[in-house]
Amino acid sequence: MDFINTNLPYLLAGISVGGQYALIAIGYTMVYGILRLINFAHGDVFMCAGLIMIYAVTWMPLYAAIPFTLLMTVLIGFLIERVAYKPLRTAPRMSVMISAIGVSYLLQNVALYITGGLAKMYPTIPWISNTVTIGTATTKVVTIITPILTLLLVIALVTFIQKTKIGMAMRAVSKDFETSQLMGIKINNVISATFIIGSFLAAVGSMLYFTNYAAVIPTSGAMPGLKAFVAAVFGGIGSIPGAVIGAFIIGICENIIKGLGWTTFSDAFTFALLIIILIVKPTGLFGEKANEKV
Amino acid sequence: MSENVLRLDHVTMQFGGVVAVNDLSMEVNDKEIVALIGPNGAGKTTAFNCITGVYEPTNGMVSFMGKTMVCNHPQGKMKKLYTGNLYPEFSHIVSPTPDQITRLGIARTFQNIRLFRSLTVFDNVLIAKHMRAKQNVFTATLRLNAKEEKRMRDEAMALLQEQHLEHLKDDIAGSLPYGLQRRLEIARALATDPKLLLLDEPAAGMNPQETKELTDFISQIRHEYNIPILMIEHHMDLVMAIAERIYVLDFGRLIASGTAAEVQDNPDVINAYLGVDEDE
Amino acid sequence: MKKLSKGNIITIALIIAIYALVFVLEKVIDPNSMLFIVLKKGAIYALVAVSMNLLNGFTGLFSLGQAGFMLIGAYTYAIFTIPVEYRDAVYQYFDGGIVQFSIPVIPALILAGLAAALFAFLIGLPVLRLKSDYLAIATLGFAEIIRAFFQWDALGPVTNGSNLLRKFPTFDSTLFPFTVAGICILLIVLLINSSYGRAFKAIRDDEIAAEAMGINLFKHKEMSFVISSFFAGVGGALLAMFQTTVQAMAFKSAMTYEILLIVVIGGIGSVTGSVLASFLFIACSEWWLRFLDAETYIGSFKVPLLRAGFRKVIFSIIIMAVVLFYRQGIMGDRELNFDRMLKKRQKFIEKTQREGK
Repeated sequence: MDFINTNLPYLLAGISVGGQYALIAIGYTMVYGILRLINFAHGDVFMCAGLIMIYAVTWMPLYAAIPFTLLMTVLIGFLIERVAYKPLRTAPRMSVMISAIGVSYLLQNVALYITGGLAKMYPTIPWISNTVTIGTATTKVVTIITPILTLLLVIALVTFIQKTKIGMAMRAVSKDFETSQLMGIKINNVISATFIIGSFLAAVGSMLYFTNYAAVIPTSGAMPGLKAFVAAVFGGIGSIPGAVIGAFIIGICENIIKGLGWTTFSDAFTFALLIIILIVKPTGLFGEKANEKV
Repeated sequence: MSENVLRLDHVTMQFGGVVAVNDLSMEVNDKEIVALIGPNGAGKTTAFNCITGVYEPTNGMVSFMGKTMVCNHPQGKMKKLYTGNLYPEFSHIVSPTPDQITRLGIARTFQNIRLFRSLTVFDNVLIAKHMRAKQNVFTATLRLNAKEEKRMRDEAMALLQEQHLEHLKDDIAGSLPYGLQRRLEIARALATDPKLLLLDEPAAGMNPQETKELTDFISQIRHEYNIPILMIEHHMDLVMAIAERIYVLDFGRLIASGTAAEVQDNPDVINAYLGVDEDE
Repeated sequence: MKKLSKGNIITIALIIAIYALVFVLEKVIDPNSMLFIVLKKGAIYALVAVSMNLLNGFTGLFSLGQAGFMLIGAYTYAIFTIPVEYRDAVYQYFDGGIVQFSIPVIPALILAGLAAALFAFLIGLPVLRLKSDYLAIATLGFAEIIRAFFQWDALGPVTNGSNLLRKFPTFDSTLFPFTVAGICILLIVLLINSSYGRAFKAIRDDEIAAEAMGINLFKHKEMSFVISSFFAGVGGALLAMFQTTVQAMAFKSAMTYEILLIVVIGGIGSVTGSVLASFLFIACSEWWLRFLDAETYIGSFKVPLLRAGFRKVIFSIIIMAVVLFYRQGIMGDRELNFDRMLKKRQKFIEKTQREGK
């Protein structure tokens, strides 16, 4: 019981961070499933969502700022795909990945320019910033809200993919890009929809994440982005439930390691986990195997 | 009786529940041209891949020049899934990688031409000499292997001359016309100094005139290099003209073998290609 | 020995001329001029970019671990060269550290490369079996692990934990990084044009066909990875000398991305391209685009947008434009080749003569 009492705060933080990673990881995993592209810029879209929120509250009331932030982030995600990835549809995969790295570089530098390199304080969103006490742990409401909201969004997303026409198109495209094109699926619409969903979830994730971390800097998105990506690989890239489970595992492990006083290694641990899974089961927990035809 | 160069004993290749090659036994003798034919999806290329180490057969043995080259029996998950016959003599496992098999002396071409597309014709052939060169990365970088490098270049050049490709030596392989790409791929395979040549559908996509030329080219190779050739081919003119023996696969199973005439009249072969008439 | 072709002679003459020019410039221009900073850093980045190109451009392995290997090189160099008398001051939190000797600069540079190569060898064993983007992400992960490892307090007596390493020997003359980077790049070029280089290119073009040509894929990939990391390690050591201090914090994945972008701008698969792009990249980011960061007035009119950070925005837009519209970069996969240029000129002259008649 003592163990639980001392570790409860870390466990709670882990579940919370895990949920936030999950929301980012879905964006990675869906894009990878459809385009076979590691969208290196996704973490920076997440950071942009944080900055947009910060500037939005200075111009408008909070209840308007939240939908505005969601809308703007979705727009950014949509534009990135149209400008930076669409022209490279027939190019080798490496070119698209390089383009993604270029976008990431651009977003970070734009953020640096706009903020002037200063850390910007994230606005306090009422209610979810309140503190609550659970057992021995005192934490913010957001910690409790995150896993619940994450699960609700994931259920909504899975239903969307299973039941709607565009969801069916997404599944078809991720199975076979060329054939679905021949079947008359408007590939560009499907890809845009994927980026819109991914960005939307990243924006929601950013609100939850930055409420806990208070400040946003241009590189704020890099580490959560990488970790969410690791989560996506861990769960089997292309699989949404895989990404969510992977994200929770990584969030929890990382915080327990911090609890043990190994903070230096909390990031390294995530990558160690990634490398182990890549070596033991490169397709992740729920991934599918692909073979090259000789 | 002539010596077996290549010999397959009860080779089975099973992917999950799908049996691609089923208990295939065949042999290629010295200086012989053998054809492996069968309808699409019969398992011909899979058989090739089992011989060249791209796949590890689920069960069975491949021997080359009298020595066991590949040998395997169902293990792990396959133990339960395996549906074929088991033979106690395949208890040991020998599983070389494709490059080791090439070094033993089996060269191959691919169904969907695989050249080093961005390299020159000359470099494509020269690469085949790399594996047997006496050098290491230091001597090669510091140019201490000049003699060896010269030998490799001379041999590659000689081969291009033999194959009448020397005028193209500085052209980029990927920019060659289709027919020449096929020729180059065969030349590149010959550059590995093989003791057996495997050709995977060499005449695919060729018109009758080109096929005719290829037919002459293949029999010429056999005479000049004195090596046996095993080929997968759909063009019956080509097969009938030069193959001394033919193996026919259908649904992974060997349904007939023998000379061209024998195979042609075999009712199983006719059924496999034309289908059985239900009314009969 | 083979006789040198006309083109090769021109190339060698050009390289000697460049070195002579640097030598003369150092005599006549203020040594603190921006020019020398660009030349020094450009030479170091050229080496690292070429080493990355060996992997990404010539062997077709999309690796993102370069910053990690540079870090190993930088630390190895610093740890073994800090003079004994300064060690107490540098390792003030770790009782002067446990390394109580120092070695000369050149052996230390080689040691830096060897240390990076050793790590690469060990990392390569598992990760080089992975395909394209999985390889990219695994190498990126390893670079992050290396960074965390070097900052670990328990290793403080060796690495000084998360504190700076300083007071190690550095260089003043631009010719030093030019010479070291020049020798290293020359070795890489010789490798690329050797039998092994051909094998690397074969693997890049088609792994399955390369294997069918008797090339042991794993052995050659590992070789390329280890050699590339060796030179990245030497490059890291040079960077440490240039900066005069080393801290693990600086070797983030952003550094790898920067080097990758240099390789892309120069042309994936072109050594000349990587070298040119490095100097251009450094010159633009450190020097030529500086004016974009300064608030400027023309008369009483304040030029809009110009303020700190604008340079980097413009710079990244240029990079995106290259990536999207000019995908082959400056050089594509070609090299600067005077033989070909001479041949073209010859043809052109012949053609005009024929038309003249």
